[in-house]
Amino acid sequence: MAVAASAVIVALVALALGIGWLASLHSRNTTYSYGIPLKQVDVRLSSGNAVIVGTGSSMIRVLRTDDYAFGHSARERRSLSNGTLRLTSSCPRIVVGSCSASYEIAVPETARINVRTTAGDIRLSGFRGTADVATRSGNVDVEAYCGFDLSATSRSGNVRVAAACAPQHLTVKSGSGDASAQVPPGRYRISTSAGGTEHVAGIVRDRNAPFTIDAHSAGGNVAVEGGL
Amino acid sequence: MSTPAQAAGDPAAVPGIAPQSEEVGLRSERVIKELAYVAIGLPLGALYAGLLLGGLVLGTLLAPIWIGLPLLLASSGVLWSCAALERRLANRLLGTRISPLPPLPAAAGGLAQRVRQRLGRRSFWRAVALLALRLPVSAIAAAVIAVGLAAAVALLVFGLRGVTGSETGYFGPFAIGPGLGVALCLLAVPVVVLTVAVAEWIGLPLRALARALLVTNLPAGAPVRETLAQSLGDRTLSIAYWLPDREAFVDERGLPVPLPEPGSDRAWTAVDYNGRRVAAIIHDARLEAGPELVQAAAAAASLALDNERLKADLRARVEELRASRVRIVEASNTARRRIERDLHDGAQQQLVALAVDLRLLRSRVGTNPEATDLIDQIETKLSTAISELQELARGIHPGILTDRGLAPALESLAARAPIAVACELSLPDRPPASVEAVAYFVVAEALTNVLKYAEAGHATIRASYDDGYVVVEMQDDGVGGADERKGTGLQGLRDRVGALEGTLSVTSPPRGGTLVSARIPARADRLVERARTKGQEFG
Repeated sequence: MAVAASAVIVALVALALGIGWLASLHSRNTTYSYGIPLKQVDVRLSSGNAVIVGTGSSMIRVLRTDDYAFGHSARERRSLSNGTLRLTSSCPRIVVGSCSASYEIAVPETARINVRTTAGDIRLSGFRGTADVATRSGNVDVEAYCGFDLSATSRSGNVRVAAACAPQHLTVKSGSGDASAQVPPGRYRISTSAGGTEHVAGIVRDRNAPFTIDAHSAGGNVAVEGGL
Repeated sequence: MSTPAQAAGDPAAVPGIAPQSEEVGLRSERVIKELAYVAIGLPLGALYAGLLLGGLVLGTLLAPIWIGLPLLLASSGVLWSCAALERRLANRLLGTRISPLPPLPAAAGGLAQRVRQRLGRRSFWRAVALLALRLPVSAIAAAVIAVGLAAAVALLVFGLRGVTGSETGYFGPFAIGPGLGVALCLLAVPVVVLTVAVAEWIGLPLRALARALLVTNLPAGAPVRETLAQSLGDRTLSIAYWLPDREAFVDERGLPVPLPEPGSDRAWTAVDYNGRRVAAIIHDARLEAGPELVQAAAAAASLALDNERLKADLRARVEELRASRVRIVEASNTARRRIERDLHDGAQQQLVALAVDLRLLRSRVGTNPEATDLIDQIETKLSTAISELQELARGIHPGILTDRGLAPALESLAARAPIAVACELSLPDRPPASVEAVAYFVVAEALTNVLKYAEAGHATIRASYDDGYVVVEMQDDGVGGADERKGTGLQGLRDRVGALEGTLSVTSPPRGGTLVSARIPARADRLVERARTKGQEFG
């Protein structure tokens, strides 16, 4: 009897929440831009993906996509000071429901960027400046990087970097996922460590080389390959 | 039905009137055991998966080259041991009461043949299936329970934080405050109840799986003992059938069975049918199945046991008849020995003393011819009487058989025969007295028949040991054609040999001589001893 009553109560609550969640699901796009020259962009997201695209323009264009239910969307804070744009987005604590805010940001290709996400992927393409991107549980994917200094880190996801030019300093790190880097053929100072397999091919290890690659994974595989 | 070994006097043990707290305690214990079974299944299941991959799969892949076969043989043994461990775990933690697994086939033949013997068993592959399913099934069960418990804990934590005002999050559309916090705490209760219920229900599929894959089914019509041993999980279980006429328990062969004493490692449970004592189940005192289950199994099998009891009764009567036949033959032998001894020590000695007296009388009578002739006649008659008496005694039971054994007695028999009788005797040790007596009289009777009917010129006596039997033969070169039905005394010999579980054969083709052969168990003295004991047991 008690079990049946409990089952009914739990089922009713779950049903009500499920129906409410479906009925209140909402998606919203917001765009804005800054037309002034910027040296640095800092992005911090609690939930959602970040896509950064380097452009030849000096403008910054932002497309923000909110997905949420029960009317609880992420809160965004923007600040602009000393040529640095700071974007912070955080969802409220939600026990039952959903909330995420993803960003697609077109930035000047030589600006310095700093991206942190808690639960979301980071994608970086066509960028030529210094970048430091890190996520806790998502993947990091960098394409056609042609800058001097890039650090790409994920605690539990995979990290993949494809550099079109030899970076002066490249760091790819993952806690439990794979870490891989593809760079132009040449001589590199390489430091690798992996819980799984290590694979280095198509490049020359040279302690005196001007380019440095650090590739590490505590629990996954590490691969560094030369060639595009 | 009664259980003499376990006289339970606790009314709480009766189903249906147990206090509610005790029932809750029993249910809690059961759930804890089932959770333990699931928790243990995670590391054990991983181990089994490793053994299956590293043993069976690798062994099969490597079977074309020689190394795969020993790997398969070894891994099959290890996996069978794992299945035995699973049976014990299921019995202890799920209460399945699965009987012990039968041992794998004993090593015989070449390596490939041994592997085929083991891997060809259906029960082996069912056990392998259980081992393979152990990890995924345990993981699913653990996940289901873990989700329920996590939900309950989360509701409680958020509820308490809402009550204290330290929570700023949302539950669905609502902000978590004191009111919603109380509601969340209350909602945790049905979630806990449901999780516990799921934990209880999880035991059902786990039990069904273990039973389906580990119980080795008996063929239809299997003996009652096997069925009970299977259902009660005690391979050492035996059944003693009650014979009311004798007021004794016997086994299926009709031999008396002593019931275990209280305090020993064996216990017995009486089985009644229609108010009559039918049998007793003798089992391990530390049986995993409780006394209620033993009684339930006994009640279910009581009709079959009653039928088995009737068969055992019949076998007991047959056994008793056989024992009584042995006793009769043995009594006859004893009587013969006593009469021979009495004749030898009594009448024969008196007659010999009388002959000596006659010689003294003749020396005193002197030259009286009438008296001397009379004494000579008496002496002749007396000598004839002594010879006839000695022959009679030998016919009853020769003293040489008792004093010196079968071989000298047979040689003596041959020496006295009026035709040429050869002896081929190979008896390094004396057989038991009862065997010697039967063997001697077989040869003596056969020799008498040779002299009376065979018209033989030559005969041969043989005696030897052959594979635990004493074999005696009497062969002649006479006319043959002997017929037992014509009163040649062979039927009586056959009965005496049969009483000791021996066999007598007569081969007598016309004009082809006759061969009488008897095979008597050399250890027939045990049979005689058992017959004596049985006579005392059944009064």
